[in-house]
Amino acid sequence: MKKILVPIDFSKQAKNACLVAADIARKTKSEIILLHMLDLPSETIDPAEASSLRGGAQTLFYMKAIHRKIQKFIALPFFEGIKVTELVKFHKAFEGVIEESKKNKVDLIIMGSQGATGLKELLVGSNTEKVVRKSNIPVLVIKQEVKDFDIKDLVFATDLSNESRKSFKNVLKFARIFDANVHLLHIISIRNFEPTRVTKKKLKNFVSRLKIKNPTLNVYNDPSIEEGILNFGKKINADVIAINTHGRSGLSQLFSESISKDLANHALRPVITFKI
Amino acid sequence: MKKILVPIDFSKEAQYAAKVAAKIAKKTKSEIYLLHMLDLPSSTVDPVEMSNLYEGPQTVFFMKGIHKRFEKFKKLPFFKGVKVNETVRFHKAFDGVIEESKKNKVDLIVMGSQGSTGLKEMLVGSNTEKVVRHSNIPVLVIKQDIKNFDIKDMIFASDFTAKSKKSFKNVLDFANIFKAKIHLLFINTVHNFESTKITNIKLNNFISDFNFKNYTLNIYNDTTIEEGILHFGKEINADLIAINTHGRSGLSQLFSESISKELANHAIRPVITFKI
Repeated sequence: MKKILVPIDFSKQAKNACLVAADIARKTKSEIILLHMLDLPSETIDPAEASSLRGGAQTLFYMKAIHRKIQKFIALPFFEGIKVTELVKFHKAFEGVIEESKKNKVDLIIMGSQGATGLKELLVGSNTEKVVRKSNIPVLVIKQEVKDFDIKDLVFATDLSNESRKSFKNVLKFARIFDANVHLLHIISIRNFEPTRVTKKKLKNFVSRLKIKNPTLNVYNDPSIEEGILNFGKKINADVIAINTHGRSGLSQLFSESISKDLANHALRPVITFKI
Repeated sequence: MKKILVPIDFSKEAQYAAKVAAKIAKKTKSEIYLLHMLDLPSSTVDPVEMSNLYEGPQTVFFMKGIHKRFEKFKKLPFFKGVKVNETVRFHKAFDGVIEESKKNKVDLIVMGSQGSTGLKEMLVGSNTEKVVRHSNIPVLVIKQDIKNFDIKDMIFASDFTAKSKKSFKNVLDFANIFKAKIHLLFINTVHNFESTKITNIKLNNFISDFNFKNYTLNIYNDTTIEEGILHFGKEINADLIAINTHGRSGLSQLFSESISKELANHAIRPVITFKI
């Protein structure tokens, strides 16, 4: 872990994300990149107009104000001792996060989210959802303020497929940073129902030949996979829930994709997504 | 526990049952009632004809033969130190077992069973099935020879509704004879799908009514309830499977009744039934 990217919009959620980023950066001796997306009206960032407008007094004034805000933010005590870089870009919010994380070879993205349901979800949660779906690197979604972020118990919810197993190595890498206990979780619903003895065998195969410190293997029944994950997380008071994303574009409602999007929006616990 | 009834037909399964009964009798300082049902052709047991036939040479010869066999049976080594009584009755086999157990105020019935499937089930297993369904006292069904009958791990399979609580005290009393660990088992199927969250609440509510600490709570998914019980029994190598019977007559296929009948026939492990 060397670089953590945190998109900020000066909201409370963004601050919560920064607090967590700072704790992780300290633990791993990483640096933080604070990214602010300037979501100006479309004509302001029209490439044809760009050259003429970039010199525009309004934009310049705005950018200076943003810069001051960010510097004030970086000066906050929780960032002490950590290298923090500021980045201000013109982009559609989520595209910029993905692009900048690739450009700067970032290892982890941490995002704050209000994770509202209903209409708000379309307006507020959507950025987090899109980043979660498109990012090739892990995305950690923070909803609430977490003081002294540490992970004692990590839940990895999986469909036990081969693809999921491939991403599991990255989950383990992340878990090792915190020396966390890993709890493998497979949710059984009516759609994917199978006898417990079959599930247990799959779970055992999943962790075989991997160096993990005493993982727990859990089968949990729930009509909704998302509910099952949340209920199990609550039961063991998990510090973070890790899930896979398929990263497909469009409206394909595949298992992992819709679950991770919903979960990233509805879970109160931190959720971290790993791309398959 | 004071009296144990063992119906015998001098088959090897009956001997296995008697051996187990003797072990229990020794542990609880109970006495054994060996019951042999004379299933003579109906004309022979016609009450009108009775008086004539009782003196009939054929019947007398037959009864003497039975008595000799009994004496030989009672001399089997495992009966040493146990008080054994013998009774011979004219009855339809299963009716007699129920009647005699009531008459003698018996506490436990131990029956051998071949537990075959298909046609044989109609002929051989049926007596066990009928006793299991009609008996008000626990029925322990033995299929194989168990050299040193002891119960370390006992399964109590149930739907854990309020009704099943009523008989649980009897289950506990039986478990305590052997200081056995009780594994409460809920089988989840597609037809009766239940979320783990709900099942855990049910299980905890169930056990909280009893002052008992030596137990585990288990949720097991399977295609049918019977298979789930058998597979779980195999997984933990249970010494005994305990279930409830509703005791309804006719073809009502209620959970406990059909399950316990089938289980009593198909399980290789000992099965004990408790009437609700």
